[in-house]
Amino acid sequence: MLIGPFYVAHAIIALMLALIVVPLAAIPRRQSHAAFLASSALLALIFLLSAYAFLSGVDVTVFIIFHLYQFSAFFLGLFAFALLLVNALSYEHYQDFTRFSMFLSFAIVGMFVVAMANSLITILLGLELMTLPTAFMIMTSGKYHIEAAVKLFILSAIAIGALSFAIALVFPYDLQLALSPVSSSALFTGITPNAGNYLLILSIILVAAAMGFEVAAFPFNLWVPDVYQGAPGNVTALLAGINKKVAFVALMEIFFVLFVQFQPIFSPVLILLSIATMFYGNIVALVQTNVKRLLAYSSISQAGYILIGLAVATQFGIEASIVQIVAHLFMIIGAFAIVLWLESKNLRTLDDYNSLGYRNRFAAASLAILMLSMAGVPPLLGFIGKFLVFSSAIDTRALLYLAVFGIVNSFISIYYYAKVIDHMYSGRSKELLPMGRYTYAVVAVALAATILLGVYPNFLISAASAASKALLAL
Amino acid sequence: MLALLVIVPLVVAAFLAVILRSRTTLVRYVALGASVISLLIAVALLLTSSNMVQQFIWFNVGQYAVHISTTTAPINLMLLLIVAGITPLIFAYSIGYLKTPSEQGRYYFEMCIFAASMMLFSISANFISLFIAWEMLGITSYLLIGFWQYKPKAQLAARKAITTIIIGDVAMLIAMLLIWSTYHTFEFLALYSAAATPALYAAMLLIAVAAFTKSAQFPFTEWLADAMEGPTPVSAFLHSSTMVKAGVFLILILAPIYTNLHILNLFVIFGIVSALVGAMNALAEHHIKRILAYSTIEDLALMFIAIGFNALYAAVLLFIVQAFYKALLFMSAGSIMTAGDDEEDLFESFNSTKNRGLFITMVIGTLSLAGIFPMSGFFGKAAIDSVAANFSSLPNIILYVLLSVVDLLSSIYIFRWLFVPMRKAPLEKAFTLNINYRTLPKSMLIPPTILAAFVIIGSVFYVTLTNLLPLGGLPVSIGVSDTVVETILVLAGLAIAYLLYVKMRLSGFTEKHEVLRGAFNSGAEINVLYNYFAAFVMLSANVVWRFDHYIDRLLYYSGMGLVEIGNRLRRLQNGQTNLYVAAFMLGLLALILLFAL
Repeated sequence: MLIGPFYVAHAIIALMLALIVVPLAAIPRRQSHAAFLASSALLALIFLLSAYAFLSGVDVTVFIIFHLYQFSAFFLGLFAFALLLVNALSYEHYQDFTRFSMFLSFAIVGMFVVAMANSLITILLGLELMTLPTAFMIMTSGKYHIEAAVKLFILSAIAIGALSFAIALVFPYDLQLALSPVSSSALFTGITPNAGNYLLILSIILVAAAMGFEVAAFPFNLWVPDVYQGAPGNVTALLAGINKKVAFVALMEIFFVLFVQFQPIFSPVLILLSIATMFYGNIVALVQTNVKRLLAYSSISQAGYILIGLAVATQFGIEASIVQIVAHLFMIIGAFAIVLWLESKNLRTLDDYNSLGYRNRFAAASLAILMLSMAGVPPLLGFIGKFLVFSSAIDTRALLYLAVFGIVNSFISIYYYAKVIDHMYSGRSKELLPMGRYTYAVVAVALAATILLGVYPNFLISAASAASKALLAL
Repeated sequence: MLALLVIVPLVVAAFLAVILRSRTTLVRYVALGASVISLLIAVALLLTSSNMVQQFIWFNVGQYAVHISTTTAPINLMLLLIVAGITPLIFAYSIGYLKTPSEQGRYYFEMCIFAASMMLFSISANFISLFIAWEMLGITSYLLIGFWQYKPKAQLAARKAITTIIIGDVAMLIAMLLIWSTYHTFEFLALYSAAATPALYAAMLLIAVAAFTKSAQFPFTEWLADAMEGPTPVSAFLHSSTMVKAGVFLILILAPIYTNLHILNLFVIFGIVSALVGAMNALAEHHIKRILAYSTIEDLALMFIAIGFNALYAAVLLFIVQAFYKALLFMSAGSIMTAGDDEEDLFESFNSTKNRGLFITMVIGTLSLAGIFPMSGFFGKAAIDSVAANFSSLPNIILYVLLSVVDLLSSIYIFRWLFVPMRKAPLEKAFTLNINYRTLPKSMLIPPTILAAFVIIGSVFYVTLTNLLPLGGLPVSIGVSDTVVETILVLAGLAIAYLLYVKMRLSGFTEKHEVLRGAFNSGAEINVLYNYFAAFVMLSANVVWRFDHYIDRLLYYSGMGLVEIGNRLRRLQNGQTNLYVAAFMLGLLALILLFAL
């Protein structure tokens, strides 16, 4: 290794601190551009470092609470890359970017902390550090957004409460609250799931509920459409594209490391959540007319697909879920980038989207491809994710029905995705709609990822496989 | 990937069509040129390569690899050549047919993508390449049916088509995953010799469902008739000669597996039902294109019957010749409609004899469809009758009788289709009609003429097919008795149609014939099935949606209960948020109760 793993990890942490400092320094003089450039550069550096860490197979623990290994490096890199996109989107959206940038950097640090977490407390703190600034981001975007912010704030407080309680219940079994299997704790060796460990089972369910809130699993997801619709589009992209994925990372870390022996208990919970989430998201999306709301419901159903792989709980299942996470991340950021831009032109409903195909060809074509990918049309990235997730469920014969539910759902979704495409290419308005260049770049990157990773998915699949193996090896 | 070269020109042309769409004339010729290049490549493939399966890895799953694989086996090349051969004709026809400048870019984009996917479909050697093509076929078909976005009927038709197609896609993907998890391969060749397992049975039945949806077989017939709302070249291309035959073709190449599993008979049963449904509806129908659509359903059903008897040669023979005469008939129908100011009712169309070229091609197509010697259609239909002519058991006899009825009915409806528009127009219409028939563009007349030549030459395949295609199953042999029976049936149909529609000048079904029409028109009943399905989906969507609405209502009423409206905090902490918290707690409780007890 060119640079020692220890230095890589410390460099990433130092860059995270710098991320917080930069916008704070920029605020007094309202140097939006400088703040944007600096934060982008820092994110790019973090992306490069974590890519380097991933490729060189780092495994190092820092300050006890952080653990940089292939799993965390994978997600650090992924989030850093995705955040570069959201950062660019937000920069274009706000007059004064510095204030927003401050909240965004706090949230970013929260995300990275979760990805690198090595203890339950770190996960809790990271999630809080991510969610609260997100609420502030929504709130400071204008008075119309306050309601969404308050909803997010109140509900996330309850979710965090549930998670804290879950952690408290684990404490007797895992005195250091470290992320290692509970049964390997020195005090309580030989704990098995069927020994009547009600406290641990309760803890598992509380974690499922808290994470169910964050990943928008039914019935913990009723806030999602309201908040997604109420928040400005760039924050919605952040919420749906990244925050949710961070929660999935936390879920994987807790279930597949801490509770790994309790798989017979948490699997059914995840199965139930997954089925309910898929059906709820897809069926309600059928009757939506507001595009943002439609995408919100669609992203709920996508969370259901991701949960399938986690419910399967094999290495292949986790790998498949990771691929689906990456797929959804790019698709939804691209889609919300377009929605945000149209929203700024006061176009919100499906009828407003009429004739978009004539007014801005690039936007309509990209949105169409992203929708097709979400619907799971080969050879786009969305198909790869779904194919892997469903075949992971079929591989364990007992969960065949889960795959069938998933497939049925993924085809129900074609209805409303097709509806969006339909609207974009009907009508005849010729009045052109110009797109800002940052939005253009973000959409182009998301689109390229959707197409390229769909046509050449091998790199992504092997990376996801390495990450999932690293997670299970803990 | 030599074989994949064939789709490259069309894909390039599709994107050129979008880029160049302001230059409408250029777009047409780019598409036409690309389709000709594709045809040349297809011919080159036929001449150079011999039965090669080529594959490359798309992605890896565990230690297994998912391949994209293509083949140049003779049967695949057959479909490839049919598609590649018809594409330029359709594009040429479209030049005259579609004149609106603003639609050109979208039209040629969708058509080129469709043609490319159909070609990919025809050369795919495993389920993955096939599924990619299958999905693209469904999507392009959906877009092209709803091409005229200002027509609400076209939108409904498109939605009905996609509903049916989605059912097929679900079946297909489940089947694929079942096969994958059992055998860890998608290759057709490997599956031919796969051991029969319950998973394979389930998968093959699901694939049959998928094939039925694509080929509009009972009970999925209705979308095809409605698909006639699309532009006529689309009907001629997708909904008669190529896309709808994807289902038949799929079963054709998978026939060895069905034979291994001993479930081929399934196709005979569904086939004969669909054939009757198609023939009877065609007779009850007045819409000039829908008649042909129902007739397509019948043709496809006959192919399924032949496959069901393991008479693959007979199926392939009809498969080839049907492509030519059906495309020809649709083009003629489009020409009549264009000349008659888009009149869609058969009984409101007149003077079709005014354009000699058009009329002659119509006659050739009609004779071929009806099955008159020596038109190629005769060989196709007689081959299937000869397969069914087996009087060893009662079900076989019933089947043969039913097939004869279908033959008779199809002869009646197609001659009706020919005779009725020959009538003289009423005076006020005659003048414009004469002009319109005379000014039909050349590009709409030449393609049907070329097809008419193929319809006649196609008879050659009867003799040469056995040498050209190495296939399993029974060979084709049309005996004298088959010829006689077929000819008598067709002539009887001709006589009846002549009597009813030329001598007696019947004007279709009126109120007096409502009972008769109702008896024939089963489309309505099948539509009810579809409506129930669609209603079920939308209803469940609405029920769940109500759940959300109900929360909104509650918010409204609880909001009224809160007197202190000025209190901002109150307003923010409205009923909705409370309910969301309640839902969270209830969900948590439910989970705890489920798992801790």
